[in-house]
Amino acid sequence: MPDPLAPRTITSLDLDEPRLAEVAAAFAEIRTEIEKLRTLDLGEIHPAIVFHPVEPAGE
Amino acid sequence: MSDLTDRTITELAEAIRTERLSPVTLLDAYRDRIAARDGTLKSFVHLNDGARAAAETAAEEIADGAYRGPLHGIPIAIKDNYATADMPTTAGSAVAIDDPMTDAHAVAKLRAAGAVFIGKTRMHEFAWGMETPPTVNPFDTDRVPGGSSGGSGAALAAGLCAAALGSDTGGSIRIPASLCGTVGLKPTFGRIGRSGIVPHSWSLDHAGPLATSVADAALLTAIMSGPDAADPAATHAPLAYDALRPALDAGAKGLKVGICRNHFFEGITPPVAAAVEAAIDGLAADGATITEFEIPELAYGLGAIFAIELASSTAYHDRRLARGDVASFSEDVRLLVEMGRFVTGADYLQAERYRTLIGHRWAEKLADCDVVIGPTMPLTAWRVGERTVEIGGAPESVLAVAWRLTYPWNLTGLPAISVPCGAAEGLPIGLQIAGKAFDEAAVLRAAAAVERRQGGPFRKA
Repeated sequence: MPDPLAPRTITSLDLDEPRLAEVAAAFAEIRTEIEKLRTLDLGEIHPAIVFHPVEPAGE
Repeated sequence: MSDLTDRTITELAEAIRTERLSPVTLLDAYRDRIAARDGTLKSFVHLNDGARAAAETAAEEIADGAYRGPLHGIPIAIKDNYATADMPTTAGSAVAIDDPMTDAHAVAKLRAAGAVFIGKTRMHEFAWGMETPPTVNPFDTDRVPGGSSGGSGAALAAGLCAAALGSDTGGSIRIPASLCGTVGLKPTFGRIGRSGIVPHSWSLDHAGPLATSVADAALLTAIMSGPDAADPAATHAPLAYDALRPALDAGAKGLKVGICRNHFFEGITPPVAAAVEAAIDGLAADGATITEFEIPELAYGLGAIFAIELASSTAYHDRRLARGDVASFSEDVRLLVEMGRFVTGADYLQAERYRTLIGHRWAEKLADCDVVIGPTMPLTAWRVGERTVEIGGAPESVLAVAWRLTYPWNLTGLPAISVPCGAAEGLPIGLQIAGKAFDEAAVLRAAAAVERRQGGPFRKA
C-alpha cells in the first residue's frame, strides 16, 4: 500500500526523489501565483467551460 | 533584398492574376533566399519537395483561366504543429507523435485557395516556450525570435515566405511577431478551426497567421475561418475578406480606443513605452477618441493561465508521462509537463471561474470602446541563452516576462493583433490591439491605421 501522503502518490509522477524535489522547487514560483488566485472571492460564478450532453446524431 | 520577396501578398496576387508574375518564379525567389540565409537563421525544419510542382500547377491553372483568388500560387510556410499531407509533422519534438499525414483544417482551406506550401517552420517543442531554439532573430542573430512560432516569425521577417501560420496559446503568434517586426493575428477563439493542429491546451489554443501587412493577415484569417466539424469550438460562419476591406481603409477617425493602464503598462522598458505612447498619440491625432481605465482583477491572471495551461498540457501528454517518453523532451518542456501534476482540480476550476469573471470585466469595458491598445511585449528581443531579464532593476524570468501582456487575450478568447510600431537599437517593437469577440474588423481597422502611420508594410531584416 503506497503512502497516501507521499508526493509521488499525490502527483503520480514516477520520478526519483531528487527529480521530484527539482520539479516541486520549479513549481514554487507558479504556486505563488495560483495561491493568489485562490484568495479571489468568485462568489457564485460558474466556470467558463460548460458541459454539453452529447446528442445522438440526427437529432 | 529581392523586389519579389519584399512584396505583400496583395501586391503579389495582382501580378500573378494578370500573369505578369509566375508562381514558379516567385517560389524560386523565396527558395534562393532560404538557401542564402536559413543556414544561419534555422527557421525551417522541412522544405517541401512538392512545392515546385504545386507552383507549376498553379501557373497552368491561371493560364487556363482557373484563377482561384489572391492566395493562388503564393508561397506560405506552415508551423510544424499543423498536420500536412505532403510534409511530416513533429511539433518541434524528437519524440514520435501521431502524424496523420493529412491536412489540418486550416491548411486544407489554404490549399483549396491555391496556396503553395514552401515548408514547415521550427517551433518551441510542443508550443511550450518563447524562444524556439536554435532559430535566431533576423534583426540580430545573437537574439531570440520569440516563440513558440519563432520559425514562422524569423522566416517571414527575413523574406523567406510570403506569410506563415502560427498557433497561439499564451502569445505564440504575437510574441514572435513583436520580436521579429511582423504582423501577427490571433483571431477570436473559434474563428479558425484547429483540427489537425497538435494540441497544447484545448481551451487556450488559437490558430492564426503571421504576415507582412495587416491586409495580408486579414486575407489569411478570412480564408481559414469558418466551421470545422472536428473542432467543437469552431462553429461561426466564415469571415469574408471583402467584408473586411472597408475596415482596412476606414482610418482612425471616430475609432473608440481603450487604454488599460494597469497590468499592460507596468514593468515595460522605456523604449517600448515611448513607442506605444507615440502610436496612441498618432491614433488620437488621426481622430480616435482615447479612454483610459483599469481592471484590478488582471492581477490574478497569471495563476489562472498557469493552472489551465499546465494541467491541460500534462493531460495531453499523460501517456508520454506514463511511458517515460518525456525524458526525451528538452529540459524546459519536460519540467513544465511534469509540473502540471502539481495543479489541483480545484485550482483548475478556480481558473475557469476566473475566466468567466475577467470575460465580464472586459465586456463591460468594451461596451464603451472598439479596441484596447497597449504593448505586445514589455521588451525587445533578448539574447539567446538569457534566462532572466531586468526591467526597472527587478530580475524576472524570461517565461514570465514574455507572455505577461499577451496571455490575457487567450484567457478571454478575444481577438488580438501585434503590429510593428517602432524599433529600439534596430530591434522591432510591437503594438497589441484587442477587440470584442468576433469583431476582428475593428482590430484590423486600428492596426491598419497604425500601419499607415508607420509607413508599412513593414521592413524585412
